Amino acid sequence: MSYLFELSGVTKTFGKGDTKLHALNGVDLAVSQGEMLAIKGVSGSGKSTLLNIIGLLTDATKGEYLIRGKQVSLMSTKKKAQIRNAFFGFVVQDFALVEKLTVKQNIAIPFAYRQYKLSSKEKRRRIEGVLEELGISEKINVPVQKLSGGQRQRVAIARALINEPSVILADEPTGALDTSTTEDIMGVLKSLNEKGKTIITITHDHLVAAHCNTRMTMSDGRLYEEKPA
Amino acid sequence: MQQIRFALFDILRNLRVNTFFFLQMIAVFLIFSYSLGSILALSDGLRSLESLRGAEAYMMRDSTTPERENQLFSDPETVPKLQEFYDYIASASVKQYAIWGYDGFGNPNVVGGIAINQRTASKGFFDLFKLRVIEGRMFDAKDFEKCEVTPVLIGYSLRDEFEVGSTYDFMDGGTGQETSCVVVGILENNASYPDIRNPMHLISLNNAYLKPFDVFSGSSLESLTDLDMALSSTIFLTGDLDTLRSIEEKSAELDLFSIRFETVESNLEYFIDIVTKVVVYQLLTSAIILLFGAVGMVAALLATQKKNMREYSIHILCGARMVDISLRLTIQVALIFALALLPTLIVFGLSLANAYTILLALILCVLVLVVPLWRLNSTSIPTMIRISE
Repeated sequence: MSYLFELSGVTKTFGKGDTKLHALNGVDLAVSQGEMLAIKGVSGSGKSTLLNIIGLLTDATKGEYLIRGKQVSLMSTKKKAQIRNAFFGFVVQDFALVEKLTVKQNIAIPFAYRQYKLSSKEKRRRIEGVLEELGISEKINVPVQKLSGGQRQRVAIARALINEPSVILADEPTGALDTSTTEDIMGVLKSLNEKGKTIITITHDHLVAAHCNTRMTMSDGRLYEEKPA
Repeated sequence: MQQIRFALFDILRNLRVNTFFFLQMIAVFLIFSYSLGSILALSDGLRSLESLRGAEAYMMRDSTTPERENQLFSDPETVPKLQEFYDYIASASVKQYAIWGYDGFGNPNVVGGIAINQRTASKGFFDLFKLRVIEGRMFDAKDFEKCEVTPVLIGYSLRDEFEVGSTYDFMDGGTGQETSCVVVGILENNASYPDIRNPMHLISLNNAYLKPFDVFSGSSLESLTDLDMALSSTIFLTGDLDTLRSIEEKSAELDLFSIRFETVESNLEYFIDIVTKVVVYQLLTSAIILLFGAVGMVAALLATQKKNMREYSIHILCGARMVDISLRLTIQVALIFALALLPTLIVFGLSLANAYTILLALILCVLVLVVPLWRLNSTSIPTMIRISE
């Protein structure tokens, strides 16, 4: 079976000597196309470090990481950036939006770093399409600072989707939202998964994890799969 | 291209800090270019004076009484006598140079609101003081021959009013007559020469036009004032005291001025000392301005960088590399530097000082970016994202 990406024996160590800290202790993970995976864990369990390694934001200290069968450790910085741009889409707790920009301008940021540039017409088509899909078309020219939390997270999801990535990496995507908006956003992610997107969610919230097909728990730098009840 | 757009956006978004940064750079470049221009001019003067050091050089001191002077000035025979005297000096074949002129109130030549100073200089002057032109050419040997249209060099500040190759009429300060002059060159900014007779003065040629004068043909001077000024401004570069004494005797024989020769050594030493101090002072001033400017710029840049860290992390999540962010920061600084250089280039134009100022801007741009780029590249991406949260 071919996986979208695969980690085996991945460790991540911070510091040296006495201050050495093992954030990840031999993590094995294989993710296939169309999965919706929740990684739970308490603060400091290493789940964000794992997401950073998966998202190519930091390198593993040891172990093997393959994306579509290709060794990440052999990839150049440029190649990794291209993968961040086109293979992954990031959604984070604080939305990571540029406050003074409009919805459209925020969503267009990934276009600037695409390996293959798009025409203006295609860019417009994609922006309008993704906003339509997320139900915020009327907000296209509104500065994001004027939007509610839920709307902002939809904009962040729209930006994550704009380059049609294979995987959405969501780090506590509902951490800054109330219960009703959380349900709303998880509904959006669920619907994207049903359309074929692979979703990896980092959360400490059981209710959020409950929306996912596969659930894993991080503890002391190790990853454990939860058996279905 | 995208990074230029982002850099422009960064400038506009932090308009207050960047405006301060921009104004500061304009001031730094203007002051630096001005100081450097002065330093280069002073250094040129200093080099010329250093070449005189050790050589025996004399100037004439006139001890004629005011009554006798009035008498001479009212006597119509004085001009031919002075012409004879100058021809006698010429026949002595003593190495010498002379420069004199007319300026200040009552100057008849005013162009574009600028009173034009007149300077007349011998070939020896140009051999000793290496002036440079930014357009056209310097005088050649032929220019020192008497000709119908006088070749002239134009000072830097008058460059927009005169065109090289064109002919203009100048009112001669000595004769009061209009003379046709053809502009052969434009002097570089801050062209100047030290006045050895009056050691506190460095005479600027920025507002002057410069005429050539054949020192070996005194009879070419027709005005008493010109003859008097030519004589009194001549510096004799010789150790031949007998010749100098014979010049003193010739003046007495022609019943002209009571002259005696005096060494310029003490004036020279005094001048070199003063000029050296001024150069050191200017260098120190420039260094302090640069230091404060650079520290201010680094501080402004770090503040902007801190403010933008969140956005940088967003771009990295979207596929940017550190090198893209570094490029964006570099373009931002380079744009501000380039724009801040414009007033200096407009005010001081093409000059050696501005060439150095551009070089300084490049070096400063690199130096100013060292700390912010080091900070950016030494911050891990997860840390950057955490900082912004």
